Amino acid sequence: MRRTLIAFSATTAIIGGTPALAWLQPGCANQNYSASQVADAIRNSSATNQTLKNAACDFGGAARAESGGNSCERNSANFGVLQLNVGNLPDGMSPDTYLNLPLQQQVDIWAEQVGNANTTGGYATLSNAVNNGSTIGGATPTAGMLTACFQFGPAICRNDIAFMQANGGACPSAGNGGININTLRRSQWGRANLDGNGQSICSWGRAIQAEINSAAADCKNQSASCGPGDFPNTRTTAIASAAPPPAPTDILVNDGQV
Amino acid sequence: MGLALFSLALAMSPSLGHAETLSAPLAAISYSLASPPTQHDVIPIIWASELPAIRAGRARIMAIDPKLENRTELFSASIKVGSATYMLSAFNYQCTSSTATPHERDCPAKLAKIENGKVVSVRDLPALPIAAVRGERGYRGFDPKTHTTFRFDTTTGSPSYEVFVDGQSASGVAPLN
Repeated sequence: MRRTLIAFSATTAIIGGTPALAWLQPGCANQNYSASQVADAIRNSSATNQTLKNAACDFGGAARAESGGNSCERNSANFGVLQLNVGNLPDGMSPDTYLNLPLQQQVDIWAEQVGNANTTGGYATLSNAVNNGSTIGGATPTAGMLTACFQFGPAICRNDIAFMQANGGACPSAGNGGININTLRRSQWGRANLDGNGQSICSWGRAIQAEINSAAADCKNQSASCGPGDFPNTRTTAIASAAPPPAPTDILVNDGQV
Repeated sequence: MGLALFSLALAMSPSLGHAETLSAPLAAISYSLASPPTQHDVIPIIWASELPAIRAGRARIMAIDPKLENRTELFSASIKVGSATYMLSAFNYQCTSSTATPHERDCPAKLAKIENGKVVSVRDLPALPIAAVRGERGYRGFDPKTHTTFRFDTTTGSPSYEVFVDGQSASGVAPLN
């Protein structure tokens, strides 16, 4: 998520445990990529599956909301145009190395590491609702909401959906019992339904949806033009839903070696 | 990979004592995707379906940054119960993204049962919560305060996990479904 942007040297920045400010990587060009350009990078990546390609404009909108389209954007533990979390960086790669990569390569790594994930839990619930035309407690989910769920991760997304289902589709907020992650100890973060900026998948989804709608004239998904309801639910990743049978093998593991 | 993994697994592997619940933290190693597996490396068997995609993905990442080695992080823990060993493992690959919780993500995982040196069963776990603290260039070992612990109840035969963050339980003991 994008926060107040300050351009100064990251080497002099003090995070202080409060991710309130975003800043640009020194020496990194601030490209201000459009949703269409990010969508093109997603479609051009060899790491993206068809589901992700079909939603390229939705993630292009997310990139605009998350980073302003800047490949140099860093915000606490999140980096680059799609704000890849530090924990999802590839083995051996530093955040600075990732930040200095051009758009296409940032998107390639994002797709490789997380782009085809986030298909279970609350994300699957939302995705099914989008595709089936059903509601979450009476609220109609959007592509923006779905990508907000993707970006926030499973905990906040799951909790937001539970809140909506229990409250007639109303989204959590600071005024109706929403739980901001910054008010909790880290061990309790799994209870949060608002991120550190007080955003839910609904409010942040609206911000992303506005970017998707704004780019709709130029950014066309492969199967449909950008907009609510264009996010398919056909997963093509290789995560098996059932255990494979035991593989015959003569590779032995002796006692004490495992 | 084999020696490193199994040295680590051995260190993490508890022995069966009087306790009814055994536990071992998931620890990370940098798993080689290049070298042929050793005789005792069961990971290529447990992850046979996914390893081709993991290797191909790593090759694409190495094309972007040729300085990287042909390795990727593997989280694993093993518990020995009688003649069987239960291994819980997950690669840092296609885990969920999360801009809100930097040290926690859900990863596709596998629970394998190994008997007499052979993998006799593998169960897919689509979304295992993994808590870990990354260093500048990757995950190594485990953080004593922030990690996921693999548990096994020897009385009921039930595997479970518990996520610890800052030394406190974040999940309670949850069944491995």
